[in-house]
Amino acid sequence: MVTFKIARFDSDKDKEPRFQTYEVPDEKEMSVLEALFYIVENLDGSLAFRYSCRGAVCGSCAMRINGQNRLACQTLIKKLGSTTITISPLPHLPVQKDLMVDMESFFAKYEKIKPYLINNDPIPDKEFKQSFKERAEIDEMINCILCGNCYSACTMAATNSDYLGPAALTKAYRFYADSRDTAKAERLRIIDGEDGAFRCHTLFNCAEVCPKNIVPTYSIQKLKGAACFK
Amino acid sequence: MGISYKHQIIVVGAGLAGLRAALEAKAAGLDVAVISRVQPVRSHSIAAQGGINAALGNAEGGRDDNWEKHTFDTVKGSDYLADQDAVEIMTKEAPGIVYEMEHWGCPFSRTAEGLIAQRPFGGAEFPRTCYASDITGHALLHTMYERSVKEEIKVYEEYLLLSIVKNADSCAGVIALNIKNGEIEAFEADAVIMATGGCGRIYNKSTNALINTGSGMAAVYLTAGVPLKDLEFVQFHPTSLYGTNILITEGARGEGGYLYNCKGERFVKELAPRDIVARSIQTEINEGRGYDNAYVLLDLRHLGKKKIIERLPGIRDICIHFAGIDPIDAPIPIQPGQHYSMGGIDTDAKGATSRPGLYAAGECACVSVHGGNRLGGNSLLDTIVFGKLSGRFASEYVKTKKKSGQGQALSLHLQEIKSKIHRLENSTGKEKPTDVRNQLKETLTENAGIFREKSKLQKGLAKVKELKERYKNIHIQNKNKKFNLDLVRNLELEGKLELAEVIVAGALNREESRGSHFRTDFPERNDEKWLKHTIASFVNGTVKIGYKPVTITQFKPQARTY
Amino acid sequence: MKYNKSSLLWLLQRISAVLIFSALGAHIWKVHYVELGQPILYAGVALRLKDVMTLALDSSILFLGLFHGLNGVRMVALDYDFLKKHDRLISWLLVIVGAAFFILGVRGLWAFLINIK
Repeated sequence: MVTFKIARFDSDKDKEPRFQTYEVPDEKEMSVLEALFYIVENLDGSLAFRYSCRGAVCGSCAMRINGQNRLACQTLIKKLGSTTITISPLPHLPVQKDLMVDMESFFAKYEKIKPYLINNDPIPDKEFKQSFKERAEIDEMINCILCGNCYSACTMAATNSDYLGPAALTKAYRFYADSRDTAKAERLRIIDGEDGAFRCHTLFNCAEVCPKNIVPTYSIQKLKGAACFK
Repeated sequence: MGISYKHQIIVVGAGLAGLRAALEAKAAGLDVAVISRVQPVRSHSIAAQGGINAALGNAEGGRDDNWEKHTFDTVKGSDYLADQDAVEIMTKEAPGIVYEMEHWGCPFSRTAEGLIAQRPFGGAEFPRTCYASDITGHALLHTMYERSVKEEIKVYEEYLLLSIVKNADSCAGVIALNIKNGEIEAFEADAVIMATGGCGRIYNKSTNALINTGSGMAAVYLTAGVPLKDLEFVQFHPTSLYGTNILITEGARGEGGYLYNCKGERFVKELAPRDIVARSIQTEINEGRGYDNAYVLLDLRHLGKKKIIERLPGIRDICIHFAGIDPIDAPIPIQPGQHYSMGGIDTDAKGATSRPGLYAAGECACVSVHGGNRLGGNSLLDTIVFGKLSGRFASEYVKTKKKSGQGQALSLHLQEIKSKIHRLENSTGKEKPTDVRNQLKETLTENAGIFREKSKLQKGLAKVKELKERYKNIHIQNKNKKFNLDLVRNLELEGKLELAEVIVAGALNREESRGSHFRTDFPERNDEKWLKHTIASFVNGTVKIGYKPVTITQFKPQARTY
Repeated sequence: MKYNKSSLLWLLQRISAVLIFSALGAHIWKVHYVELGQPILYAGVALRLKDVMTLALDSSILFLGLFHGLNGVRMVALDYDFLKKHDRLISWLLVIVGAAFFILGVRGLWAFLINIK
């Protein structure tokens, strides 16, 4: 048996979150997400959490598991190496219910950086050409699944509510560095300023929790450099 | 009272098909909104890995490719059940939509000349599958979502579709559960486009996301009076990771991976279509040549570290995290798993259903371009092409439609649904939903899986009917309004049961083997009797099966060999 | 080249760090190393503090140090919502504090050469 201590909270009813304990049979290769389903189906139907792909590509099930932001689906119980597992919602985001947080500010900042390719040249009949080398520069950033792990782990995003945060800045760099994008100056204008790239103090909290092994700090440093030496 | 929202077009589902349809309607100048079970990038399109087919002729050895050859491969792959006029539309549109996605920013992998890279895929004569390493669905869905942000498409997130509301000769809108607060809300619309994806979670071992419960298909089938087509054709992907059944892309074999049984033999041509490879693997396992009577091995080691890291990094990650093995050093344990529903809401090549104003696109629809078996790389294509077309034709419909009093139909229906949900919530039944759900999955996998036969299908049908009865006494434990997963999952279960009945009944009737539908008691294809689409309607609480001819244009059915 | 205030200050913070480092090296060389082993006498110190180059060097260390430190304080302030609101006020306060300390420092440093009242 594995003991799960799970934070319960309903913003309509509760003032403070409380922890509830559940015992889940320890099956081999069971993920934390599967354990949560075990609880909902067998122990407590009122537990709330988000889920979708269960294969670490959709970014729904980000939560804090044993003190670190992780994806519940990607975290196997045996790999945590403990018989007590504590789960709480992603820190520094408003909790809606139990393990669900309000991602509104996260997506508002994502939208702020104009997260789409801008190309004002005439559209070719076929594809825009792009070399291996040009494509390689954005290889890492396109893996982002917008799970919010990095944003929630970032100290600056936690204390400064206007800071764009690691995910949005990584996305900004993904377009800035895309050889097909022609809005370089505009992108630098957006990420410049005290709430943009320069708020990052290179703590690497973001990189530590990324389920896709992205290092947002790299993108942010690149943006800082570009904004200084444009 | 009770009408919460009003738009000219409501799209249900925010995956590739839904967002593409909404973008098309927006471009036509209409007021369009999307309602979705999840935030758009959580949709199941994200999980597609291998690629999207289009005859671009970019790859070495693929220069002579063209849309006619793509059409032929698709029709042959479908075991001649696909409607050939629809396939032609799709393959002709293919290069255009791939270029469009590229122009919108999709980060495709590249050839040495800087063109979109293409890889070989099962059942295709040429390397035709455009890819972004092994996260093509992810790359496409993010690009599509980015576009929808740019075009300011309104999305209502976390709504579960409950019902389609119809007027005498049109569609009045939809009713959905707002998962965030538990309210039942009505959306008035002149046209509704369904893009709700597949129903893989009816099965035990599925590569599908947990949200793929077929709730959209079921709502149309149960409440719109529109039939489902060919739902017995269920694709089993040959290579899902043993244990979790997470998808291991066909691209792994496209890049040169081998399949081995426990005797170390390669037992099938790896790039045959999925139905054939899945059956071969299942045969090896059934006849004792698998490992633990459960899986065989997919070996990538000979591709070398560089190629694996460059072309299949996502697969490597999945193997490391979910199976604890690195495919650079060890072969991957795989087994077939439910993957795709070729069937779905019966539509024509414009995405229109038999009900004016109701359209469908993507996996929830059956145009039919996949017939009895879908080729890898054609589903992403299907979602975008028919998403776009259904958006276009729905917009044309709305612009010419006469206004009718839809508000009344909506409020009446809203009351009905509210009392239905109220009854469900307050049911004093003793039946445990988990039991019904699990038994349904087991029944389908056991009796309507890769290999089917009469007695098993009969048993399966009886069991599904029994479970439908038991569902009436279901007990919902959680009484909270807000984010009630218990309620959501039990509402989804109702639809699953109905779809399961359609699958099993269709499979029982179809006494032949075609594409993914393989009957051990009727192992041959029978064009004389069965070259026709199954049309399943909901009549008096149960399924009524009828048939409809297949459209054949240039390719007469012939023996299907690879 | 057009600079936004924040990117300029960010860049100057780094440049000032490098300059402080090298200027401190020169200061230590001049003050401690060159006369290593010699007795430290009032006259010697007084002599050094009349050398314009030494005074210029030490004054620039003072300036750079104040800028670097106080700009750092501003950056920390900007990390917090409740301080960020008062960015203008805090910035001016820091400028005044910086100017005051600089004047005080220069006054002491240059006392042997010019008598600043």
